[in-house]
Amino acid sequence: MKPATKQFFFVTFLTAALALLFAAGLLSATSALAQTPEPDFDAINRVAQKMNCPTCAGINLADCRTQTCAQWREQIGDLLATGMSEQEVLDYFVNQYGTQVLQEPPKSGFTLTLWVLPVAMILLGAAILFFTMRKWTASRTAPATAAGVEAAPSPAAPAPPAASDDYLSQVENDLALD
Amino acid sequence: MEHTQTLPQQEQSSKTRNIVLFIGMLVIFGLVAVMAANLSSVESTDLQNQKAPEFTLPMFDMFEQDEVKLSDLRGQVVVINFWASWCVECYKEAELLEQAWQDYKGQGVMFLGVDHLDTEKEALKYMQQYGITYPSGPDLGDKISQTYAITGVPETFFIDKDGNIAHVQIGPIERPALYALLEKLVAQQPASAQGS
Repeated sequence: MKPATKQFFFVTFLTAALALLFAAGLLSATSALAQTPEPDFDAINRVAQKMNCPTCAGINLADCRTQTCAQWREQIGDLLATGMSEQEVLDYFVNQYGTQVLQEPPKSGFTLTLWVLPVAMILLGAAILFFTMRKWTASRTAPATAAGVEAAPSPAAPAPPAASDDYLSQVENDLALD
Repeated sequence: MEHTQTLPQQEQSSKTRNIVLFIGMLVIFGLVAVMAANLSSVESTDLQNQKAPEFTLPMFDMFEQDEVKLSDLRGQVVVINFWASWCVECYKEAELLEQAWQDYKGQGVMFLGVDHLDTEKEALKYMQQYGITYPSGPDLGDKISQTYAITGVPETFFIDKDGNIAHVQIGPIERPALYALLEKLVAQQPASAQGS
């Protein structure tokens, strides 16, 4: 092979290699740009903590390790990435799967009773306690008051000696005689 | 004099006590009623031989129709399959259901897939993976699942031509049972046709 031909092949090879390298670099840069942004795990957790695992009872979506919950958390991330607010994501899930997805039942409709009932029960208990205690107090003071009315002295007359005073003076007399 | 004044007070306090007791009883009765209603909840198998509850199922975007109304399918045999992409048991019958749909769709049989508590992304992946082509859609608000009182997934309801639930299958169904049921339901004449 002539040196000129050799040089031609070398230059061609070098150009092709450089072009390939450039293309590869360009591709990786493009794919890096096309990648979706890292999900905000704190935001996902904040939403997930307000939700229930749909398939297991009493477990928070943020803590659950089932495949369903993993999918739901991923969905939360996807929705947040579209620009939805945390409340909008919660509303989406309620619309999609019903109010049972929420850790706290909504304060409207039938589920409002779940919020009102405990307060109502406490108030009812307090009312029962108040009326019962008032009745007890009244029944205990009433006989004493009645007795006080019968034995009440007139302001002009001196107070009559009580039965216990008679007994005491008798005892003292007996002692003095001894 | 004093005694005559306390009598109306006693009457008043007795009236108040009665009202409080009545309200208390009412609240307790309400709570017991709610608990009893929860305890005696209907299960899917209780719906067997009853009229299939009406529903409208929105379709996934891949289907031409926007939604399917059960009442529009009256006169056909309808197979309603509740499934989810996260349900391992559902994988076992997915291809079989698609095969049965292909075998019976020309014989007045309609298959409907009700996607239960699933994300659309995973549901579509699942349908692609198992080649599901019969109409399927998400159960918005979990309403259909609750109406049909499903105990889990998969569950399949077989509805006859008169709109009655002929069979409820809990768990994956096997080929012989599925084809036997379909044969029987396809062969049955609707009550309206028998009467004429």
